[in-house]
Amino acid sequence: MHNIDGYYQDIKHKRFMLLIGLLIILFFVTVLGIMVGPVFISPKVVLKILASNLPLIGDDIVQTWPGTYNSIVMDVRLPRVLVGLMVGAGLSVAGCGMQGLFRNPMASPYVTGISSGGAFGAALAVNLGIIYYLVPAFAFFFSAMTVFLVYAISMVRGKVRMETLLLSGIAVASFFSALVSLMMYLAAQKLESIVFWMMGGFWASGWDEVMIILPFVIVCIPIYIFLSRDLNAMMLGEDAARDLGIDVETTKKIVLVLTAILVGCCVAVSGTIGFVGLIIPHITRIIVGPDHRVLIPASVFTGGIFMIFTDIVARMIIQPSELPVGIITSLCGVPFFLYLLRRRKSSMGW
Amino acid sequence: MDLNVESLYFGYFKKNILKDVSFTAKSGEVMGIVGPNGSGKTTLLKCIRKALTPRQGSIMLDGEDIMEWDRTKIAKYFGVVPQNTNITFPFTVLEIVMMGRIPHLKRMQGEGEDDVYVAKKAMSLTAIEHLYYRYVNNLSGGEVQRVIIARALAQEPKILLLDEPTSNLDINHQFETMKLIRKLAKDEDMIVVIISHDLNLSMRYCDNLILLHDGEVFSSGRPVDVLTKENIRKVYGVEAQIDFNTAIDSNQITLIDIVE
Repeated sequence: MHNIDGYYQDIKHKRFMLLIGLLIILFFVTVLGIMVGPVFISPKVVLKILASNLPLIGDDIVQTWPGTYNSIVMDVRLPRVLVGLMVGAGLSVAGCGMQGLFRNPMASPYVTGISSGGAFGAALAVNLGIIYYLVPAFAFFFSAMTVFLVYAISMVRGKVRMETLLLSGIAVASFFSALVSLMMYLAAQKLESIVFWMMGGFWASGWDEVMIILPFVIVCIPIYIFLSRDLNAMMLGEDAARDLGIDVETTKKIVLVLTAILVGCCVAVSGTIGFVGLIIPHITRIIVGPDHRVLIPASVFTGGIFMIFTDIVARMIIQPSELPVGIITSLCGVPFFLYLLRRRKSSMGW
Repeated sequence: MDLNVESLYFGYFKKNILKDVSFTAKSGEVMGIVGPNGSGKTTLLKCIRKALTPRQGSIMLDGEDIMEWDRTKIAKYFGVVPQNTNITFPFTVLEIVMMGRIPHLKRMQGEGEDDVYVAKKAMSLTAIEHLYYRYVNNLSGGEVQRVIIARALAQEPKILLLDEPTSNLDINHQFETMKLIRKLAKDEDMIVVIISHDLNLSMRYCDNLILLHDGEVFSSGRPVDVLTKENIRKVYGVEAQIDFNTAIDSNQITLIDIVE
């Protein structure tokens, strides 16, 4: 007799343990992200500083470290790590959503042309000489608009056609890329800031950025989790999902709107960081399997871990300066991903 | 249980794809739909489960109008096996079969022991219990088809709709699938409606047949009365010879040539 019950319980247990494990790793990487920099701060001190800023227990902790450490941790590194965590989580979860919609592991949030739209918004803002802190607003607006444009084009008689969505995404992305090139050509001495923005990075991340992105992440990610079973069913095909009682069209529309908002704000805060939305869902699927009910929460953790880790590398590699994190995500991520792909190809079937 | 389809019309724009289709399918019986390409078989199967909305006509299940049901209720009554299913992602067989429980669960409600029990039963009926931990994208075509049938059975449907389930299978698996479908109709007292291109298998394994031609019911009734030389010539334009074969205790259709 086949022990399906035992297997089923084992899987449930294993998934729970994997989620806990990833959460613990995320915690350690977060602490590491706060430790390293031009001034090294020991993990003990990092934890003490964090604890001393908490209500209730904060006052019981005696300060045994230089006063400047407080501001390094609380004003510089903690917000930066938090933005990295949230952008990583946002891009990965949005990637899971798009790969689910397209039923294709090659899809990423950027297939909607969102990054090109965002880049155009930022480039436009720089070119118009808009005050610095309005650049994210422009980037967000154009990112979201790109998705809605592509969405409107691919809407036929109330239904979103996925093939049309993909093609119009590519077309709109090329159009905006051309406009970005034009902006860069015209920008002359401001070229550098556009290029930096497009490479993506967290050098400008402070508490303001945390506060911009936090509400979006807190609202959008639970909606993805709420839709996870619908996404599972859609893996069988749109018709099959509908035959299981899923409202396929509504699910597609919600996921696209979520992508526009969530990725739009990630792009606005940190520029166009590549590969995270493509690779992290893959890696997470290899770890926890393709069930979105586990995949999406796990992607929050893996996305956060990956983003904080690559940001650490970006900060450390050419001290005292730093590299755009977008370069590191691709440089670190792609070989690791290819390694996993080769190693797991035989057992996973793809 | 009776599934009653009454003067059904369906079409896009000015074109009518289904014209005045009526039939009754009974539980415990296998109802076959045969007909040439483009005769409206798949469209009919979609109309029955409200995946497409007919222009006119009614679909009643034991006197209840299906057109008034929401999609979740339909999913609890109708299990669907499509022609072929491509699953790109590495789901296990058990995960796919468990998806059949979706219509019975509330949003965010996890599967319980009884859901695992239903999935196990579905897997044992389709003889795929031993595959439960395997990745679906590593299985053969015949195995995947049985997984998809098991998923449909996990919905605990009263009506099983199959759209050419044997078209991609080798002869051995074709037999196996047809026998399984017949067994399900008899043992589980289901209404089974199956589209098939294989006239011989339809002749042998269906209790009743509908022969569709240009969206209309050309002939319906017992297979021996529907699949006659004359009907095959008129609908398919193929000359056939029909003999009774004692080895299979059924009529055997031999296709000779295209009618000039």
